[in-house]
Amino acid sequence: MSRHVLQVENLRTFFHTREGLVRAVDGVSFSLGPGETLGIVGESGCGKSITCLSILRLIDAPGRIEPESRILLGDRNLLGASEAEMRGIRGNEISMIFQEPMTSLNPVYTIGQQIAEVVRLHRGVSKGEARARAVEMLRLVGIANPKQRLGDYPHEFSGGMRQRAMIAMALACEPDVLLADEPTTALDVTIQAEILDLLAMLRDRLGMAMIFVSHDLGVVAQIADRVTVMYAGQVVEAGPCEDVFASPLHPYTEGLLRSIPRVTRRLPRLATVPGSVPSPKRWPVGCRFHPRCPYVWPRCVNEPPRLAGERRASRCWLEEEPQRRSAEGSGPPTGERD
Amino acid sequence: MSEGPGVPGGRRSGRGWRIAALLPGFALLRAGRRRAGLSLMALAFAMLVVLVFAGDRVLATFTAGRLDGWIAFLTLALTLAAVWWLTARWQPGAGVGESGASQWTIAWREFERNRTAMLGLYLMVALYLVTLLAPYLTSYEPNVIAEDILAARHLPPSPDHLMGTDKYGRDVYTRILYGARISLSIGFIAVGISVTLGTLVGAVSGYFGGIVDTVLMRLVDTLISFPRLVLLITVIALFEPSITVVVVVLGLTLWPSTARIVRGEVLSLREREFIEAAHALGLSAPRIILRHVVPNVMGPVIVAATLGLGNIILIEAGLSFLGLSAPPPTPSWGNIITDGREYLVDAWWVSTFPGLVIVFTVVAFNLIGDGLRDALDPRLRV
Repeated sequence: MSRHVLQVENLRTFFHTREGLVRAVDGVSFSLGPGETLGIVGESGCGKSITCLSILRLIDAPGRIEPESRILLGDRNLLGASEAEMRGIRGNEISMIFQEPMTSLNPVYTIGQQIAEVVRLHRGVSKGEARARAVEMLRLVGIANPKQRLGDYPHEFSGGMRQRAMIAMALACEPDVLLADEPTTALDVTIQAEILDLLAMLRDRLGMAMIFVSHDLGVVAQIADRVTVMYAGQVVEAGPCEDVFASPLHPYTEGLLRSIPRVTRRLPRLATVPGSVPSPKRWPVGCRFHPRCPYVWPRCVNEPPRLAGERRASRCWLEEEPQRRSAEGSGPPTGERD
Repeated sequence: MSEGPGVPGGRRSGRGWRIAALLPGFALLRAGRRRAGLSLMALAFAMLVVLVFAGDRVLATFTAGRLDGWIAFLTLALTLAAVWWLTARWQPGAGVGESGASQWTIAWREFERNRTAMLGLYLMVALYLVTLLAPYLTSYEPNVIAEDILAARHLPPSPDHLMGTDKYGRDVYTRILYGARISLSIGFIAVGISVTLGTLVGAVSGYFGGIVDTVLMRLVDTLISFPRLVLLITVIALFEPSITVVVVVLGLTLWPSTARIVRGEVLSLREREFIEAAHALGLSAPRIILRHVVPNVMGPVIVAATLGLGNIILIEAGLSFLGLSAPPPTPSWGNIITDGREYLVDAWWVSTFPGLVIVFTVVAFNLIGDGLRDALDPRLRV
């Protein structure tokens, strides 16, 4: 097994608000090998984005990363690094791209100025060199006429081009890890595909590892090597991409997969996972998924399951009592029942 | 050359373009904006002629050792530098429909279409030309008292004295011309101080939030809750009235409103993704505030500053009227009005003309401010 580039152990990010403790991320662990892509999927509010921001330590006050968490970049524990060290790591060793390409570029500077700023900040090169690097990066992310487009302002770029420019900024210093937080969600489907291809190409070319956050399983299936499914601030299932999608272990993953519309099959109504993500202020006791789970039995309400398994892991009592899966009867129930 | 297919190659780099930029207006001409370019060139040429043929006289008026001379000089130099900077940076590619158009270019296009705002701008430019060319627009001195006071005082407007003379036989027209220097300088410098301070305080307050925000904003509340005129009178009364004191005190008491505007803007700006992206790229907080937050709040700040200019000129006139501004011989507009106060019935012209000039100036700034507000308001044409 190769060494890990990034290792997150028992990450717990809590928000200590006046209304109470919000356990947004509650004991998340995963690791990332060099050149590997980890997909993180889950519904809105399950803690995907907070996990990414925690890795960069961009959690603002009332939020706090609890002391027993560990985030290892190589051998360094990022939670012990000073703020100045973190600034040297952000954008340089770990970069992040965001969901909204429309607003993640500063409207008052040209694209070139914004890329060059990052390069100058981390590499300390001259203006001319930074500019040259900006041209190179724009070319790399597939922007035609990079020299001319350098002087353009963000409003002169289309959404897809802005996301490309954002990627150029994030990768200008060739980071080891890229955190992509729903980078394609706000884009048209065709542009989504282009951006995915671009990210895969850049990942291979620059040899970086990537964490790809999305609620779109199809997108994750395309790009990720391994998948981590998150629910209610916890990892509920993890494993190689194909295995998870082919034979999901956790009922939540099952539900997610069933709710993908398929062109080939005509269903009377699209299946859903009943209910919605519970409030992070009061996660359900026992298994956090139990109020929405089709297989629920008393044990689920009383005891929280552990994340069991090595290569493939699932946080579900079904792992210990697999007979219950079939005992329920005629296959997995559809989400339409109430 | 709206498409400009002939020039794209070396348009933004290259020495030829840089030299061209040194010549005011040339870049505009190249961008196909003939009228603006030509008038700017004519203006530059006229200034050059004045400097060459009467340079020593121009210098003499500025280096007379008087404080207001220096203030006037400083303000003028800054304005000229700003004009030069703007035109030199004017990218030939920034024409309509071409790429490389910044938010400012777009706002300017919008502004240009607004007739009343342009009228205000022309008025302001005219005022500035007047302050610059004062010695050439009159043959009298502003502060020299006539030798034969009794014969020269309170002469009604005539071809000799366009706006009559005051109680010391001084030409009112001349005094208004020179007064423009004082009043505009006070306005610009005081606005400069208050806007800089207000922007910084507002940006820091809005960006950091929490206890910093609470402390700064309560300070702002306290300052705003004082009746402004009373506060000014009290502070100024502690010192010997002089232009410096007035400028500094006005600058230091008028910033809270700007701070509030900026803080409000920053609060919404802080949630935008590019600020988060800047964090994620490793930029430090001071850098984010100065380079990414502040430029994005410049729109409302500029509007506030322009409207504030008119306001400050009015306040200064009021203070002069109360004898709390520049000491008497200085021809600030307020002072001239004060000089004519006792003789309103017999010599209406002494107070009326400076009053009208103040009205025009304030209206001009307000028109510009309103125009800017319209041009900058849909701030993000993303």
